[in-house]
Formats: sequence, C-alpha cells, structure tokens
Amino acid sequence: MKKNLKYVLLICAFTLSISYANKIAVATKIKGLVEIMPAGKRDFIKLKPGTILSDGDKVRTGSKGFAAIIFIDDKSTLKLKEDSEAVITGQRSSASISKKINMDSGTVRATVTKQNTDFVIQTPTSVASVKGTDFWLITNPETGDQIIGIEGIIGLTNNETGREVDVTEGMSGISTPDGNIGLEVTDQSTIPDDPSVEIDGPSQIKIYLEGPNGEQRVMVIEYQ
Amino acid sequence: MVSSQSNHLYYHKNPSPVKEGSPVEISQLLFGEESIKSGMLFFRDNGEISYQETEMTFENGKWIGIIPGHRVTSLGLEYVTILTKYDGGRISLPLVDDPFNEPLFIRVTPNMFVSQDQKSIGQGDFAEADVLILSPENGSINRPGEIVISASLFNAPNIDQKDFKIFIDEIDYTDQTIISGDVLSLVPEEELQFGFHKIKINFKTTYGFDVSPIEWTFSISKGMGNIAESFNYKGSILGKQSNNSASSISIDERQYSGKIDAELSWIKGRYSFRQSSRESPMSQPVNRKTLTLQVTDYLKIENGDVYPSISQYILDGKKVNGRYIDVDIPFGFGFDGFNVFGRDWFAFGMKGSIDIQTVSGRLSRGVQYQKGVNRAYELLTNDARYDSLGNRIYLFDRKGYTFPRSINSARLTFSLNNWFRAGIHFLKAKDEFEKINTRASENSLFSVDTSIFGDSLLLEYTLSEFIDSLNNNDTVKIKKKNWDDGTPQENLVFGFDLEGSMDNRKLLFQLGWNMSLTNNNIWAGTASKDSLDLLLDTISDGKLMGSYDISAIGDFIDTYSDIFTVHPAYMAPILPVDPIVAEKSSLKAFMNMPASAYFIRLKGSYSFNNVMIQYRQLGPEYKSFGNPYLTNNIREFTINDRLSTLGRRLMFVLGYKYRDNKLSDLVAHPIATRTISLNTTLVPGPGAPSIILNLQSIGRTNGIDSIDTDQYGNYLGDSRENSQALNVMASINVPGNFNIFTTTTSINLNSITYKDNLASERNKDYFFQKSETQSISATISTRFKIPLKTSSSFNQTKIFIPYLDQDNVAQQLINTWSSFNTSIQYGLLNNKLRLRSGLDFTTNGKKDNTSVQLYGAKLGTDWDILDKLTLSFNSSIRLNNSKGYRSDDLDNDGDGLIDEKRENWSTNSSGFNFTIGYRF
Repeated sequence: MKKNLKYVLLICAFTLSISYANKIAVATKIKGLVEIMPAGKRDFIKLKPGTILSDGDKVRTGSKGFAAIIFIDDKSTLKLKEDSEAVITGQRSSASISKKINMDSGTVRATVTKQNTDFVIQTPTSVASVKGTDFWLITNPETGDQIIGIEGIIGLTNNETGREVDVTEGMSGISTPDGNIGLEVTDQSTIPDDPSVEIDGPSQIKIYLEGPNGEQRVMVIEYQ
Repeated sequence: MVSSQSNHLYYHKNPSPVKEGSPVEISQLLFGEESIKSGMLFFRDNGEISYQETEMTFENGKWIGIIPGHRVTSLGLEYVTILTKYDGGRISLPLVDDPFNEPLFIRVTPNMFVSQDQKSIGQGDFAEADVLILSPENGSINRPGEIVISASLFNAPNIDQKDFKIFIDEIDYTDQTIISGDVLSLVPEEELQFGFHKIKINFKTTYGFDVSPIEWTFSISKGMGNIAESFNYKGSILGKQSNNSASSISIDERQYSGKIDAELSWIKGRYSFRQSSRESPMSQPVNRKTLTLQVTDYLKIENGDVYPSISQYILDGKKVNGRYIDVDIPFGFGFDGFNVFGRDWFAFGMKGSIDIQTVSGRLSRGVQYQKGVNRAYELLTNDARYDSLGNRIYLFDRKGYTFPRSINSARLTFSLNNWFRAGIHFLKAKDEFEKINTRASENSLFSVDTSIFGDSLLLEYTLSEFIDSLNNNDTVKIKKKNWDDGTPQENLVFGFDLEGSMDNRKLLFQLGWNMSLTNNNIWAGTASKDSLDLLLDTISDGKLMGSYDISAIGDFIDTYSDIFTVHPAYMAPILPVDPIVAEKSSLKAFMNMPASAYFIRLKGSYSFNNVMIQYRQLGPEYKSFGNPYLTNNIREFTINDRLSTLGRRLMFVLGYKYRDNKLSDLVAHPIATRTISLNTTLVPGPGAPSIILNLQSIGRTNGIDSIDTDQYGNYLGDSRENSQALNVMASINVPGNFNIFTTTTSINLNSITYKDNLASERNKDYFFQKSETQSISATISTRFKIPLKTSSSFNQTKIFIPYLDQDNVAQQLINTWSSFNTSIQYGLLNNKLRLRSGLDFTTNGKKDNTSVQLYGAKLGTDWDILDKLTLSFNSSIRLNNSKGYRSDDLDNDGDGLIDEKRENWSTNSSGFNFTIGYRF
C-alpha cells in the first residue's frame, strides 16, 4: 500500500511539474518541417508558429526546416537551421530567465541581448557562454563545434579539456571532441545564411530608419 | 461662453453633451426670409485660441456643419457659425458683436471605452506596464502567412492576463489569442492583406485600471514579381443631385465626389475630389481636389486643397490651395562605452529626428468681379471733375474683387531622445493685387445717379453704354489702385517653440514665441525717404523724430522689400517695441510687444492627475493670415487639473482661468474674467448610467470703479461691471436593455444665471443687461431586434431678456422655444432597403401675432441596389405658421389677397436630393 502511495505521489508530482512547466519562449517563425517534443512527452509533434515553449521542450528541424524562437524576458533569439536539434531550458527568476540550450547537432544562430544572466549553449563537445552577442554555432557530435562571432564575445569551453577561448567578432572558435580548441579568422563563406532574412526573387536595398520614440522602420527598395 | 442660442433669426439647439470621439452635428434652422449663400462652422478645443473651419451644408431645411470625431476631445468644444447672405451680410451664431470671442460651448463626455482607441501612450490616465513586443518587429516587413503576433508580460506582473483586447487594423482578434505563462500569442486564422497593419493591445491591471495601449505596426509584402498582388486600393464615388428652397431662393446643385486610396508596399496614395455645379469664378472655390502621397512615415506630400498645421500661432488647419510637404528624418547614434569591471563606462545613445514642413500656395483665390449692379464698377458721382478744357472726367472705382493671397510657410523641428524638441517657423502671406485687372467684364452694370445726365430715373449702364452716352470730349477714368473694396495686405510671422520633458514625458515644459508684421496697404509700396522724414514729426529735416538719419533707414528697408513691404504708415506694428515703455523697462517692453504672441506651459501627469499651468499673451496687433481667427489682445493665466479615479470611470476637472486685456499701461479699463470650473463625470461602464455635473463660475469686471457724473457731481450713469455668471449643466444617460429592444435615454439640464455684485451700490434705475438661459432636453433612442430604430427628443429653452419699458423700469422678456422631433428607420429586404421618416415641431410658445410655429417632415430611403452600390433619396419640407399674417393688413404671400385664409401658412424651406454611391 505504501509502495502504491509512493508511486501515486510521484505521478502527481510529475504531472504537476508538466502542468506548471515554465513558459520561457515563443516560436515566431517556422519554415519547412519543425517538430517539438514538449517537456515530459515522448513524441514529437509538429511545431506551429505562435507556440509558446516551456522549459525543457525539445525542438528539431528537418532537412529544409527553420525555426525562430524568442525568449520572453529579454527578446533574445534563437534561430535553428536545418537538421538541428535542441532542448530549450530556462530557469525563471523574477527579473530574468537563465537560458541553457542543450544542442546535440545542427546549426543555430543566437542573438542575445545584453544581460547579466546566463545564456549557455551546451553541445556534446563544448559549452558556449555568452553575454550580449550574436553568433552562429554549428555543432556535430563527431567533428565538434564551430562558433562564428558576429558581434560581442562568446566564451567557448571544450568539455574534454576544460580549455577556454574567447571568440570575438570576425573570428571563429573551433572545438573538437578530442579536446582541441582554437581560434581562426572567419572565412566569410562559412557563415550560414539566415533564412529569416532571406529574400526570394528580386534583390533588395534596405534602409533602416529609427523614429524619435525608438520605433524602427525599414524602407525596402526591390529591384530585379 | 454661451451655452445655447435661439432668437428671432434662427433656432439652434446646443448638442451638449456629446461623446468623446464621436462626430458632432451643429445645425441652425432659420426662421426668416434671409437668403443664405454659404455657411462656415468654426470650432476649437475649449480654451484654445485658434479655430478650425469647415463648410456647412444646407440639408433638410437646416444649415449643418460636422465637427469630426477625432477633434472631439474631453477638453470640450467651442464653436461659432457664420452664415453669409447673398447681399454680403452675415449672420453669426452666437448672435453677438464678436462671436469669435464669445463662442458657444459643448461639453464632451469622456468616453472611457472609445478613448482607449486613442494613441495615448505615456499619458497619466493610464497605468504603466512593461510589456515587451516580441513579434513582429515594429515597422518590419513580413511575408504573408508568416505573421505571429506575440508580446511578453514577463516584466509586467501587474497585468490582468484574463482581461485584454487585441486589434489588428481596428478588428478585434481577441478570440484567436491566447495568453499562457506571461506570453501573448496570436496567429491570425485568415491571411492578412498586403500593406501596412497596425496592432493595438489594450490591457488592464489586476486592479482594473487601463494600461497604456500597446501599439505597433508592420507591413506585409512580397517581392516585385508579385507587385500586382501587393497593390491594394479602395475608394468610393458619389453623385448627388439636390434642390433646396429657402426664403424664396431655390438652389439646384449637382455634385460629384470620390476618393481612392491606393497602397503599394511602403507607399500610400490618396486622391479625393469634389466637383459642384455651384463652382463659380466669382466666388471662392467650392470644388476640392487633393492628392496625397506618403512614403512610410518619412515623407508626405499633399497637393491641391490641403489643410496643413505648422503651428497654432501661424497656420493651423486653414485650407491652402497648393502643396504641403512633410519630411521626417530620424537619426540615432551612440557609444557602447568601455567595459570595465563588468560595467559600461561612457556609454550613451541618442535618437531623434529632424522634421521639415513646407507649405506653398494660395489662401484665397482671386476673384475679378461679381455679378450684380455696382459689383464690378462704381461711378464715383461726387468725384467727377473737369479738365483744363472744360470736359468732364468721370471717375470709376473697382468693386467686387478679392485678391489672390499667396502663402509660403515652413517649419523646422529638431527633437532629441524624446526629451527635447525645438522648432522654428515662419509664414509669409501677400495679396497679389497686380493679378486683379483694372477692367472687369464689359457686361458689368453700375448705377448712374440722376445728377449725371439729368434723367429723372436712376439708370444702370455697362461701361460701353455709359461711354456712348457721354458728350464728345467727356472721358472715363478707372482708378488703377486704392479701390474701395479692400486694400491688398501683407503678413510676415515668425517664431519658435521649445519643449523639454522629464521623467518619461510625465513632466513637460513648453515655451513658444511668435511675432508678426502686417502691412495693411501694400498699394503704397515701400516707404520713401520723404514719407519716413515726416512720419513721426512735421519737420522736413531728413531725420526720423529729429534723431535718426532717414537716408540710412530708407536704404535699409529697400533691401528687404522682397521679404516685406515696409511702410510705417500702414504697418502694424510701426515699431516692434514701445520706445516709451522701453525707456522705463526693457524687459516689460519686450514682454508686451504689441505684435508678439507667446506662451509658457508646464504639464504634469502623475498619479492619474493631469495638471497644466499656463500663461499666454497675444498682443493686440498680432495677426497671422494663416490663422485669422486667433483671439488676440489677451493675457491669460490658466491652471487646471484633470483627475481620473476608478480606472477613468470617475473624472474631475478643476480649473481656474484669469484673462484680461491689460497688455499696456494705456488700457485704463481692462476687461477681466475669472473662471472657476468643476466638471464631474461618472461613467461606470457599459450598461450603466453615466452622470455628468459641471459647474462654472465666471466673474467679469471692466476696470471701471466709479459712476459717471457731471461736473457738479450729479449722477449720469453707471458703467461699472462686476458680474458673476453661474453655469450649471447636468446630464444623465441611461441605457436600457429589454427583451426585444434596447434604449438609450438622455436628459440634460442647463442653466446660466447672472448676479450683479454691485447691486447694493447701484442706483434704482440701473439696468443690468444680462440675458439668462434655462434649457432642458430629453432624448430617447430605441433599437429593436427587428431592423427598426426610433428616436424622439424634446427640447425647451427659456431665455430671460431684460429690457426697459416706457417708464424706464427694468422688465424681463421671456422667450420660450420648444421643439419636438421624432424619427424612425425600418429595414426591408434583409435590410437592403432602409426607410426613414421624421417629424419635427418648433414653436416660440406665443399665442398672439408674434407666434412662430414650424412644422417639419422628412422622408428618405437607402437602397443597396447591388453590393456596394447604394441609392439614397432624402426629402424634407418645413412649413411656417405665422399667425400674425392673417391680421396685419398686408399681402404677405403676394397673391393679391390680403389676410385671406391660409395666408398664415408659408413654406420655410424644402428640399430633396438623390445620391448614388459606389464603393470599391
């Protein structure tokens, strides 16, 4: 009887933990096949635009998939490109969310607003901790990680050796499963395309303007 | 401020109170035989100094003007109407000597639920909440089908997540929206159209207070390959044929109007026009056409009939036929600083904008002459003279002209970080007198006095007929300038304003200064050295006032002749600063410059209080042709506080205003008014009655503190004024909801009474000339579940007019005007055919020969012939029963019979119109 009661309590606690899983982000853009395995579930289901993500949700993209995810405390953004898989976790406090992305494989662009909380991307090979930056992370369990700095500084730590490098704008950090870590100048051709700003068809000139109240406008001139 | 007006000329019911944000109809029903050519409605926010103007139209026997809903704010409205008669005379509402200084007043009920639709972010009436917009980015361009609208309430724990509304382009999408775990998410079920879209979210706090609406915009666009798909347009076209008869004058009019809005990605265009058969080169234009082009928020070009607003003190909504350009250039720069010990040192960010506005065109169109006798030429009979050979020279004056008045105006505004703004502006307006020809139409008639040809009859001639009638060597001379129907004028106004804000714009400091130069007769040209020499003294010594060498001054003013025609004899002011005052105090002279206008204002929005403290002064000679109805010759101090409680459901407005005209020590008897007001509005919410109670006490003195006596001390009269007006207005609106119908009942009471504060000191025969008013009105509107709507209203206004009888004893005449009207609308054929009818009755309550009884009826229909194609028909008739016509021994109807049966009946007005309109 006591044993049964223990199971019942465990099930209840588990159910409650799912029901009250913290909401931490929202999926604002979906292209192609993108699936989600909600925290506590075992199956992937199709991820729809506008879905509110909870702590522990796993998101994966198909071969032509793309997902843009925005965190709700500071508007930090994650863009998952094709063939990527990541678990989105976050610890809510009253002021912010400590974000940790567990990424097994794939390509992600993180645009992180300035903050004093942690934003960490954990891969099988490395840990990338960032404060106020914009970067790409390409991870592969077999070949390791490549971090391409777009703006700001990213601390890249190799899990095997614990060695750490700072990746800055224009540089790329390489971290391999065998414990190597290093820096090199970014080869522009290796920077992935961001599907959310891709333009199909005609070319564009964009003029970014900002109003007195901080509102932003883009004047787009398109030409063939 | 007057609250209601009815008199022997017209009946007018003040529409007060009205709801904030709703259009207001101002109607004026004429009793008499006045032939009205056109009507103009002037309106402004309560207490403002400049009026907006809009044309009135003659409909259903009344002159009607509409104040647009967006101009109806909780400040209240002041308005004046001017009806212009065919003979050039004018009838004003209110019927006083200076209606623009004594406008009528409309109370405006704050509409708590509509006002949320207004962009009021940052206003103190709303609670603050830190809502983060997640998606789409403000101003972003997005692809169709990819729209996710999301906002985070993570940092806004005070928001009630169950009580919100979300709108896209004013359409409610709340039902499609979820809020979960501090995140709002909406994916519209139907794909949004290409073009600009505006999102607005209304939240409430957990205590029920309204939160500042969250508003942002985005666009949906495709590539150039789909340009045809992204081109959106909508519009309407309308044809109208009408016939209106009033005062034995019948007006037929055909009118075509239309507008089209087109939008292509980030560029918007609008073209609107109105063509009327009443258009005539002999009057100001009735036709209108405007083309507007807008590129995002940064460039706007309006061409045609435009209504620009440059500054309240120089040009504020007056029609200009020309071009208005507004270029807004945002900018931003900053520095991230040096990161030392985890902190950014010397970091800063600057955002701002430079806004350039220009206006060029004409304020009025040139009119060469008008139809009628002596409306083009006038023979100056008394100025006929003989030349050296004894031949007569007949001198003619030109009449009936209006100079085309050109205008150029510009403003440059610089703003920084939303906490500082500064602007400079100018306006130049000039009558182009050279464009009015000396010779008018050859067919123009003028009257010739019997003394000219010795005929016994007054004759009318054309110029050629007159010349043919002259003796061989007699001649005709037409004056080439200095005509008698008005002189050409020139106006130059310039100024600046500043604004500083603190505490997230909760505290605003504003300051503005302007100055005008006006030349009232530019026919005289720039002053010559001789005229300057003799301007302020009579000694021809080549010096102004015996001190200043006029040769230097003459050269100086010639240099600026392209900017302004300087001629002290016709200028206002002659000197910008009063030299006599300047000798005593330079500061006082500067502050009281006769042609300057300035204001200083402090606004605070804290804890649901909106406090404003303001001082402003407009000199007696300050004038802007771009804003001709500015109230000048005033200095005014105002302090008021608008307090909102219970989530803006209960509002109090407390105010004090002092105003006088003592702008100079020369004003011996300044007229001063002190106004204390308390306005209370309770609007509990939808379905609950709303109550308004407004009290206003106005004390008025005229600076005279003693009675008039002759040299022996005998009493002659008493010109002292020290009066107190008390204006009380109460209103209750009760909504009702029954099984098969809903009702709205409105009851309004208004009273204006006066008290003579010097009554105890007055002589017995003193006559206190203040008319008091009491009015009551009730309206009940009913809407049934079947397509039936009815409305009935009753209004009674009593005006107590004091007068002196034959024995010089003060008496009181009571005019009581009562009106009742009812209307009904019913829909047939699935509401595609809507029938309307109505009856109204107005009487002055008299039973004797002075009785006025007006019976009106109207009938109309709207028929949706096809989708978006609607045919409308409206007709009305109003009959006048003048009892006295049956016993006045006159043939009032001109049928050759005197006081016959039914002579008391006449048609006051009648009219009908057909309209066919198509929306696309």
